Amino acid sequence: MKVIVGILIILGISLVGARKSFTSIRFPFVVDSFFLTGTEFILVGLCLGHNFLNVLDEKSLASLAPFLSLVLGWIGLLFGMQVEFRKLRRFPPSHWKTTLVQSFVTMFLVFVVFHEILRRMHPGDSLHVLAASWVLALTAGTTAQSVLVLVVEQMGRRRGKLIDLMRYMSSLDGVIGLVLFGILFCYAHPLTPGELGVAGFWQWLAITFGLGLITGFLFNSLVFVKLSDQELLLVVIGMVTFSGGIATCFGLSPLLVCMVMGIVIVNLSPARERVIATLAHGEKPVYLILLVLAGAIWQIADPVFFFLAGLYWSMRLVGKLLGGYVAVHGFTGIQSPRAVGLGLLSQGGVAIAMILNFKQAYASSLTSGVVTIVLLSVMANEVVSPYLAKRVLVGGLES
Amino acid sequence: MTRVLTFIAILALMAFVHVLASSGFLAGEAGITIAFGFLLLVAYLVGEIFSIVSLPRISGYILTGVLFGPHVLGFVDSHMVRLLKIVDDLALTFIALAAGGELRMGELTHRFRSILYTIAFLTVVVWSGVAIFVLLAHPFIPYLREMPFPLLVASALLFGVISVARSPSSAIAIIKECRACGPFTEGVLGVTVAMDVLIILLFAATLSVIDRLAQPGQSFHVGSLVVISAEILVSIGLGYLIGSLIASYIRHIKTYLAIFILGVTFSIARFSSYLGIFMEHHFQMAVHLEPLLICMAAGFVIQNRSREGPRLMDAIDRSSLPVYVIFFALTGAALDLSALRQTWTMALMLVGVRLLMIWLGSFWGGRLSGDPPIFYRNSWLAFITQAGVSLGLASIVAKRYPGWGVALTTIVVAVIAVNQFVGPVAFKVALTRVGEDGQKKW
Repeated sequence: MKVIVGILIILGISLVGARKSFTSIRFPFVVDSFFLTGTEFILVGLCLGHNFLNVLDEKSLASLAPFLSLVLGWIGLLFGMQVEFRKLRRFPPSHWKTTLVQSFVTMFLVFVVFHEILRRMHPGDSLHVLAASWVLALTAGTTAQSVLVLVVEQMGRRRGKLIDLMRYMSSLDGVIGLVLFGILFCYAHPLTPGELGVAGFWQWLAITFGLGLITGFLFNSLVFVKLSDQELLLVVIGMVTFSGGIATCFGLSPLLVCMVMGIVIVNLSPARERVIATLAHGEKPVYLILLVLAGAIWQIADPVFFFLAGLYWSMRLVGKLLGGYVAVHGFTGIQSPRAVGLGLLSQGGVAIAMILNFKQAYASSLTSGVVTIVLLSVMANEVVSPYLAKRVLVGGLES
Repeated sequence: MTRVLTFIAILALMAFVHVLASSGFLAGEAGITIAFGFLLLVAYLVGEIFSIVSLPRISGYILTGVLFGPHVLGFVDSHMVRLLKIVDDLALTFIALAAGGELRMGELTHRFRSILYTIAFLTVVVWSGVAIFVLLAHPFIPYLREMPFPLLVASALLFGVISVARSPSSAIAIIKECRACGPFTEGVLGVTVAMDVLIILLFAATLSVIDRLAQPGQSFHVGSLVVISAEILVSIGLGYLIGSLIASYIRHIKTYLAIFILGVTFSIARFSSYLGIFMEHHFQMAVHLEPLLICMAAGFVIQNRSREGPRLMDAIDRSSLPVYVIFFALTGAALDLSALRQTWTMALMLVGVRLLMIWLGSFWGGRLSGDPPIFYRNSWLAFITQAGVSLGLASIVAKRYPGWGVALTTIVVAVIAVNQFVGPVAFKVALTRVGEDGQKKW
């Protein structure tokens, strides 16, 4: 019964959310930011989860596993579809370097600090300490695009060098994050926990990319003949669940496998525009369901993790500021404020997808702590990031 | 050619994963997700191949389920099929909503006489014909041979009543696939949906008679019939309410209608099942709301009591393909082929007799109601398919009469398996012959 009520509530919320969020309805500052990106659904999920109503308990969440795989695969595919080489070549190479640097600086800072802290908290559990600090670093490195898109729309100006650069960075740092996230599954393989290291690494990496390539080519051959919208939807759902399921079966990340599949599709399939349209049509409900599920799996951890969430947020802020400054001023000649990294604070869907996949694969005493840290940070960032992003962009335009 | 190669490639990938999974190398929890994706893709491709050779796609979906299900290749095992029951329930209620939405009051009123006559003749002729055949043929049927006469009559009546049942889900799937519309299509759908209600009452009445035959001291349970009639009325009433709710959603909220419909139909299926368990557990009462009926009533209300019918049908059409594909593939996977292997001679005889009776019933029903000759000469082809309803009735028999009921169920399941393959092909032929194939403009 709980599954039914859970699904009903999730669906209801998602539908109303898809209609009410991401719109131009105005609220006071903090509330406005919260509703702008649909972050309130994390709290709804939290209420439905075992901390409060317990409608979505562990058992119910387990029976929703295929549903979760579909959502994760969908997000992976969406990110893969952004890596269209033909379009990326239009941007100067400095954009790519800038993205890499700002992302890696943040990841490096967070990884070093948290690996040390978690190692001291959990001595002797090297696999989970490594996985947890890796995931914290990757979620810190990524930037959500939705806030930038909404802020730019509110400003009534769609183009500009700084706007283009920031949108480019927010699109591609998620891709970098997903690749590194998939690499974590190969290095610290969840099904062979004793074999941490390079022993099976190349084998798993080859299987990850091989699987993504094969399913990508299969997808392309399925859409080789012109399909109706219904058929295309069927192929998308079928391929995402099939490849995501195989990835999970092998102990690999469905996010990366589906992303590789997406890269193959967007670069080689003549039906790319229609596939993008199909994915975009389901994007909002999928994103909101993801937020609710994230809230539901959130087990309020030891209070020390609330403190660590503050530290994580601060380290991320430092990383983005430092990385943003070094990258933008070091590699591009674009006029921008010094604190350009403040415009890259938003941290949405891809970070949440990563922690959901992480929780699925690496269950340990650290998991709930990692989820707590990332979700608190995501919510905090969603509140402040629209304001900060707007300031950075306005500053950039004035200068 | 590309599709055939893709089909082979997906099979090869699945076979590779299957071999690894069988060796216990892989994580088992993801099996259900792979099974879902695999069945969806492969059944779709097989369906496309079937359509090239002018066979119904749903036969391809069913065959895929049979081939890759637990009884043949085993890529999708029984455990996965059980876990995917949740998807099955969702799909069935979704299809029922579509069936209700296809019924238009104007057409039904216009064809009321024909529908009534066809139902009456089909019910009487098929029920009595099959029952008489079982009584006459019992010396050749191993488990009936030694049966006392009252139980023999009970078995014959049960064979008869289950033979009357047909499959609204298959009917609507074929109608959608063939883009059929017109008086013949509307009449067939009307008969199929009405018989879905009627069969519940007939089955309950038959069980009451059988209880009396099996235990001579017992009286006829009129009460149980009243309860079942009340359940049917409540189901229809609930369907009316839900139909109004969906119509209101379409009118005021509009967005993501397909997802909303999926959510509502799924919750109807689970709510009905939960209510039965709850009432049994807390009040020792066997209350069973019929999810199919609720959804058909809801679809009917939206189509005929609001202006939102066309938008409902449009939303259903846009998202129905994955639902049909997975539903019929799972139906195929759940088919118990071992039953057919054990009892194929008896099953084939029963299929033949049932076909003959359906032909007689629909021919005379249509002729006496004044249908055009092309209709009553071909309508028997539209009433062959059996699926979920018949299987549900058979499983009730097995549970209620653990000894002879189980043996009877084995034969019934074998008959249903044959009808599931023959029925869709026959219905497609009927639609082509009456000229209503491809008449609907989307």
